[in-house]
Amino acid sequence: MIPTAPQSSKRVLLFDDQRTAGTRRAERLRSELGVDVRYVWDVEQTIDEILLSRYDLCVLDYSDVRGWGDTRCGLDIVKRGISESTINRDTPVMIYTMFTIRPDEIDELEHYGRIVEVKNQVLGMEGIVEAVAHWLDLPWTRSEIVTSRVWGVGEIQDWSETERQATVIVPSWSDSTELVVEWSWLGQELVEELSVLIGELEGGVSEANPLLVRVEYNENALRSYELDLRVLDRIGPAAAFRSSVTWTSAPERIDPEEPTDTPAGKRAAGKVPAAEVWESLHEEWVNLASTAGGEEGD
Amino acid sequence: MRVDFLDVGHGSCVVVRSGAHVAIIDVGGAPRQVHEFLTTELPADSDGRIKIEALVITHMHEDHYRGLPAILYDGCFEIGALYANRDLLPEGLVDDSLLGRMEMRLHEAIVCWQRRTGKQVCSLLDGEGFSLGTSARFTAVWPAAIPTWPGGVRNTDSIVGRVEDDEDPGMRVLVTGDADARSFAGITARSALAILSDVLLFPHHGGLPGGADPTRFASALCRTVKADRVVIQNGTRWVNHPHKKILAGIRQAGSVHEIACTELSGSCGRPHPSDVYAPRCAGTVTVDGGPSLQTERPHHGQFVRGALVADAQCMLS
Repeated sequence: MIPTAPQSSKRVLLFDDQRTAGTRRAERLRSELGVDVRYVWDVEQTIDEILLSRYDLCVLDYSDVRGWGDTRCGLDIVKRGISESTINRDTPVMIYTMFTIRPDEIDELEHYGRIVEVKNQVLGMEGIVEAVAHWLDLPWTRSEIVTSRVWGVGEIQDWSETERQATVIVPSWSDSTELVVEWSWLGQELVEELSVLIGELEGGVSEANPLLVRVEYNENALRSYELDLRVLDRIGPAAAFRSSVTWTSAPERIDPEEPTDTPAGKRAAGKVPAAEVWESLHEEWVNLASTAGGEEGD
Repeated sequence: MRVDFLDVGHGSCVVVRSGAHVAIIDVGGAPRQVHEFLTTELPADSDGRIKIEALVITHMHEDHYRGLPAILYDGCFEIGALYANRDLLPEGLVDDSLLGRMEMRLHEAIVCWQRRTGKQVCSLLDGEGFSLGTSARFTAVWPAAIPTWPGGVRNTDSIVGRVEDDEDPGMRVLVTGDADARSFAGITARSALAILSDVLLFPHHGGLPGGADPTRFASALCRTVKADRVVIQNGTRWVNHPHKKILAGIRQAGSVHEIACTELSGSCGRPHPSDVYAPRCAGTVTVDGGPSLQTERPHHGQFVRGALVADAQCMLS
């Protein structure tokens, strides 16, 4: 059970571009430090709301710059996040990114706000709680892993020791094809990031349908590990809602093979391919589907 | 019939109007923009109430449902029927705390709406649909009643459906959510007629199609649907949507004569994300019975052909 901390008067602005992970990081900050957290995943859409508030600490956690095309683009977002979110330039700002920020760029960033920490890494769940507790001078100690489960092994590719990151390729039956996790030697951070990773799979992984993770390291030596996964002892309100939402079937059944005597039907009939063309198209789709992996995100 | 593909950033929202009848398919992207469009563009009765006969959520990804809680809580909207995919409540979820904050908020909103109205959420499977007035209808062609793929992948099981109006035979619109190659393998196993359309809302905002080769995917989709117009609802935040290989596939199919993205793609010169004055491309795209896509920004044609976007990806020739 994660202890609930007494309420603090501190306010934290958290930017995190990975929504599931960010939501959980914000929840951890609230529950473990008692701070008031404003979580933002999309600078574009919520900037007005952010501008209305003042914060004691601003945390920018931009792990995934792949979607932005290149690292410079990600850096621009960090700049904007700082410049538009901190009315009070004295608000301390911590930046964690997967990409390297050069010293001259840090100098530039300091024109935008009071940068107190820049790290070329993304913090794990507990890492971010620890960092915020440190900067806000709040009491906090690492909690124990409360539950252990073994869900198997999978593949991590493109591992980089220096950058402490790896790309995980999950099997085709799960919900995502490519995720980045933070690497450490079977330590707390990796365990925690895997629990985040499962969250991002959005229910696609279960005991009956396990996530396979295989850790490759040290010049082609392949080892498998049984990984302890943190299972948070929290039941969200969704548990109650699950049984409350009721369903019915659609009230109307429409025959898709409509009669061709309507104007729309006549037009459609003119487009209908010959049977062999259609069969060939279907075959093409079956082939395409057989090469498809998992989901490509939202 | 009039169909508006709203510019809501990265996300999907399609508003269908046939006379006074209104249906909405997905309410993702920027909730404020969705809400503003609905409250300013849709007719209200003398009590200020806006009637939406059907609201469809193609699948449970935030960029497709994000605006729904605000609509369900807002008493000015009277929703006739709410349709959602079966992934509304993901089965097999081990730990409910893994649900994100938005998902919990969505569930809260749906339960409150059910209690207030006494209505239930409807599923929408292949062959089911709803009418919109006397001449228009939405017909789902996917997903199948029995899940085709183990693991219940949300994109694969997106609701895919066609909007059509007997009085406007030249504007069948296929709405595709984030459907992928597996979805279309299932759809094409069932019916040839059901997805033939004039306008295609390209799936997944023009992003990668679930691991299949993007060029082959796009080409096959255009040849299957036979649409001559393609709309892509994208956002500047996902700078590579639509993917260049997707656009190459659309061109390769040879049947499409018009493409419009709601926002400028990163593939078209990569707009500076912090520049609020960056070009915004077509904006909301409308199909209203004419042979061409209508764009919110009248200068769109000049915009993509002119100096502003030297490498416009939607150029077909």
